[in-house]
Amino acid sequence: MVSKISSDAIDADTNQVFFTFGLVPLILLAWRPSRTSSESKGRTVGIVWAFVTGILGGTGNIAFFRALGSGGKASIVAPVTALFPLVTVVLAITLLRERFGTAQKIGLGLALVAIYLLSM
Amino acid sequence: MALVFWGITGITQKLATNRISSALSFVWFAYAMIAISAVLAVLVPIHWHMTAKIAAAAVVGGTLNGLGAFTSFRALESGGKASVVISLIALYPLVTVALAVTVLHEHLTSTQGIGVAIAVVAAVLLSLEPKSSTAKS
Repeated sequence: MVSKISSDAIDADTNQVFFTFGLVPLILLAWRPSRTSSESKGRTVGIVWAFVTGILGGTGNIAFFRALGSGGKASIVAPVTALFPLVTVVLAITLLRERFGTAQKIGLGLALVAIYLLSM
Repeated sequence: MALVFWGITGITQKLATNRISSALSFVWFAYAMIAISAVLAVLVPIHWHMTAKIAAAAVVGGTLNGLGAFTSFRALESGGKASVVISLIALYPLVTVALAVTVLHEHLTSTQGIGVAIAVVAAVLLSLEPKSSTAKS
């Protein structure tokens, strides 16, 4: 609800910058000094994936709000974009080899329907 | 573009927490957000003049979104499947609808009502982890 207030009043780029200010206190809370001085390969790879997550997430945020600001209808942009877990599910099955029980398969299908309906 | 990028983040989050802690993952996720904002501040005009209410809403929105990102890193670190965790998180409009009804006394549309009912069933089914599944994907 608070994001709606700001995104209605300011452009996507300005929103992203102020949005980032809100992350600063969380960085201070989450940051811990490294216990080991040596950099393991796994740690470096993990850091790269975390950084890529931020780049993709932030760029996705800007793209979403720019789509809304450049004449895209919220009634179309919001429900379609909300289906992003579909991409995650497909990639998780193909790349991470995730497998599900019958109940979870039904749950995934229903979740996508619910996400679409709730974002309309 | 947002659909694809946000969808991929579920996978990159899992790949990060398979190797490092959720706290460290979150810190580097936030560093990337800072990098994007720094690039934006250099390349495009940022409109710094706005009411205190709008500025506060944008900053608080960032904090709440950051908390959401942190909890998703935690869920993935504790063995949650990327597909299940991200699908559950994407049901967050359920909270918005609940707040709108209880706090703002708004009425549900029939579409939202059906969406809420399906979302509750979906959340329960998604939480039913098969016993044979592996913790780390």
